[in-house]
Amino acid sequence: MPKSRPPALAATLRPKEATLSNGLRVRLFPDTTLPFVSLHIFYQVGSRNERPGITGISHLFEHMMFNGAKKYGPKAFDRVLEGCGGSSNAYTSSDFTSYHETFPSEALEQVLDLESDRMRSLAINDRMLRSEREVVKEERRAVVDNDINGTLYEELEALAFKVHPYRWPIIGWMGDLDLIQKEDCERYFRTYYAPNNAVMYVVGDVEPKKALALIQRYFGTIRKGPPVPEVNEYEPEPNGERRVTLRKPAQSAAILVAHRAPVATDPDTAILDVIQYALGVGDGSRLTRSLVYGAAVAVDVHVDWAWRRGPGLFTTRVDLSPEGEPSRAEEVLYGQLDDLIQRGLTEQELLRAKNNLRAQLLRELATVSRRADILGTYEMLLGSWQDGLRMGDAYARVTGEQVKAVAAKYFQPERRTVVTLLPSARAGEA
Amino acid sequence: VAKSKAPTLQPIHLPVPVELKLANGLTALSVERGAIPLVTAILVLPAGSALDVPGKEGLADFTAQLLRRGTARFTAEALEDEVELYGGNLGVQAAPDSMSVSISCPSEELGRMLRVMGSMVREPLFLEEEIAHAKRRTLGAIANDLDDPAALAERALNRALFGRHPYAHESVGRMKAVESFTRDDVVEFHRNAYGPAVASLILVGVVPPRAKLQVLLEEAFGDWKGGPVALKVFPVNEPAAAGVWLVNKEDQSQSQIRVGVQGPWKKDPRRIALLLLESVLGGGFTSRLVEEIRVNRGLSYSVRSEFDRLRSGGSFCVRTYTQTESTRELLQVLLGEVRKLRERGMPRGELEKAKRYLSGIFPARLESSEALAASFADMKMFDLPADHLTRYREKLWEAKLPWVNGVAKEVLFAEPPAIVVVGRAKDVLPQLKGFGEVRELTVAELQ
Repeated sequence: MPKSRPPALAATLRPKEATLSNGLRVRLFPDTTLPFVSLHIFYQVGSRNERPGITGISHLFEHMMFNGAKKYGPKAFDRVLEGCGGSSNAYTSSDFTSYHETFPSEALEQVLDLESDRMRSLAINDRMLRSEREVVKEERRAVVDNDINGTLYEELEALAFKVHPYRWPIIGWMGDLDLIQKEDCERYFRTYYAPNNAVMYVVGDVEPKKALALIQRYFGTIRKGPPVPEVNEYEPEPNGERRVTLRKPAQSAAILVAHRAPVATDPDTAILDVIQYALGVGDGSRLTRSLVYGAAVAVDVHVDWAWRRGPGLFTTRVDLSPEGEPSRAEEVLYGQLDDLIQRGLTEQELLRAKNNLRAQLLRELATVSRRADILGTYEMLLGSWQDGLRMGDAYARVTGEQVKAVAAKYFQPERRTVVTLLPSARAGEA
Repeated sequence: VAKSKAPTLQPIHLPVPVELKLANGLTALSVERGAIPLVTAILVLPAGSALDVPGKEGLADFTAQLLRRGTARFTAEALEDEVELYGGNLGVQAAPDSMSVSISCPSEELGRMLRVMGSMVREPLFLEEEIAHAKRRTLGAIANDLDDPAALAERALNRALFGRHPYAHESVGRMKAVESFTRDDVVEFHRNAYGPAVASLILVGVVPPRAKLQVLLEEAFGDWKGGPVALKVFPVNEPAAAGVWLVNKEDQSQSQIRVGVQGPWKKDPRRIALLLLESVLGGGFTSRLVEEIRVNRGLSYSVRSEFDRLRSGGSFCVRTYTQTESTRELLQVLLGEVRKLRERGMPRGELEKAKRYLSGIFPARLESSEALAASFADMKMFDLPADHLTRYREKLWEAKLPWVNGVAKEVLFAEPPAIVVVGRAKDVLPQLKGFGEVRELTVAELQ
């Protein structure tokens, strides 16, 4: 691994930063390698800010952001943007919502006009809301209701959290989607889509001073919003294993096992990243070796330590082969976790995880769009983009003892939620 | 206030690749790019699933996946360690026309990674034990695909479009064939399909200087011998099976829909017109299909149209889904939109917008090392002209309206398409009257 970053990379991470008087935070990272720009606006609102009854509103609202504002009416946003050679998209997470455009440098002012129009004066119209609700229901049918893994993850979160908003799906419960009204959306907009609840990342071919002046011109007069209501982060400590078994028509069984873990800003995050790598990434990882090759019960293993602002989950999904027994997979998995608690990782495994996690940090900076996305995500989840880049040093400091201690802290049976999929019928067996 | 205007087509300065050749025929392209001290290396060979013979569907992919499971120099575990201990990331993939081994790694570890790659393609062991593991894993993966309605739809579509041609099966293969694989099958496939004369290596990122690279290449690939000297091509010479293919999946509340025909091949001179048509019909958020199906009617979250241009033929397909009850409406709207564009063409303004859109997004499409390496690999693999990338935008701007509209008449379902629906058959079937003969397929028939 390189000891220090080469000067060219360091230069791409030297931003011009500002906060407008209405609270909008701006981060400009010039990079003139290619003649285009990636602009990402992060709003600090996600499904965690919802309440039962209107779950899914954050995501539905994300769709509504493309359906017309005061100056650029319905359908205009993408027409104008694509007409000047740009493309856009957006996504909603449990913790934040991101809107992004990539476009030729000369379209910067046009894009600022489009984005500021919808931040200033989104116009929610009933007909568009009705139609968009149906689009979201189709999206839900595709990614949850008719998708086995989608169903498993939804069950998992609903069971792993008793109180915290992470217990409902980002896309929302089907029954709630029909209940979301125009007034709910308008309230949502006024509360969460104010400049003081947003951060803008502009990465690419821009002249920072000029760009900042343009941003000031288009966004500076948008009115500051009220303070955003705090989310209650309370979730009781788990006091026993939770289980659910689903029976669905499927070729093979699967298990999804999650252990309650800390918030992303916890120092244990870097250690859990190392553990996640050692357990699940690549053919040489522990769980692939033990479940796919050793015990030969699985086709694939996915280990996920997802950073979140609130209480986290460390999740392992085992896709079994048609003859694989879920109970055997669980036994092997827990054996591996116990071994981690008792003996930790080998020097070799530790080094491999650290080197790859640090290379991964670099890979995430490789394109202007990924750079804008990851730096903004760091700010949303950790508090600042610098904290994200410091993870490289945090990985370097992880010791074998810390791995054992962190494994012992989180991988306890009472912190566990297990979702098991059992095939109710296989094709051809009816 | 800003005014919408056409991009000025600022030149994008694609890096000029340095070409190296080894005595055994291996070609390498080295492309210097970027500030991040990483390099992406892709070794590509025409050893894809188009080479699978009847009864051995999946053998190309199976062989490719085994390359990392033990070589003369590395056990499977030592190989993974050698890559990952030094921050590398190894992938192996088989596609219809090619297979590739790709590695992304810190630049100073390139030599080590190339030696791993060289060992994988030159001297894999194909141990019996690993073959047994790979069979179980592949069969399990196919089984899981059978639970995925979108994967089922793709499987049915490929069969409908390509019948007895190898493009009719997915790279992962068919269960019966996979069960039959022996070590001899794999060894023979490797011997016949892998060799330096037909291979290309593409490097993109912070790459070593030419002389140093030459040394690294000699070390890793210098004594690679044997294999084919020329490409095998199997032309697609049977028409697609038009009409409706219905796959029953009882538990669905949504129909997965594919509508497709055979289409132009990789080097079709109409490429630019095809890209413009694909974009106007079903690319981006303002295309005709997205507008009518998603925005105006809320029938689906996703609809897109794509030409898939391959070495021996190709396809043109629209992919979407909708709730079971709307299957008929969606099919009518979809076919209506394609017919409208085919029969009436597009007005000039729409063509100009598509040109601005495609030329605007082009530089971003080539920004990542992986994407740029894949583009160069494609150029090498299919012997595409040197200006394939560099003159792309000029060619877009030169495209004339009558030409593009003429091509629309030739390629947009000029003959009746194959229509695939995966969903709840008893509720879908009554909605399928008038779309052609309906044939039902079971999930078991698609394994």
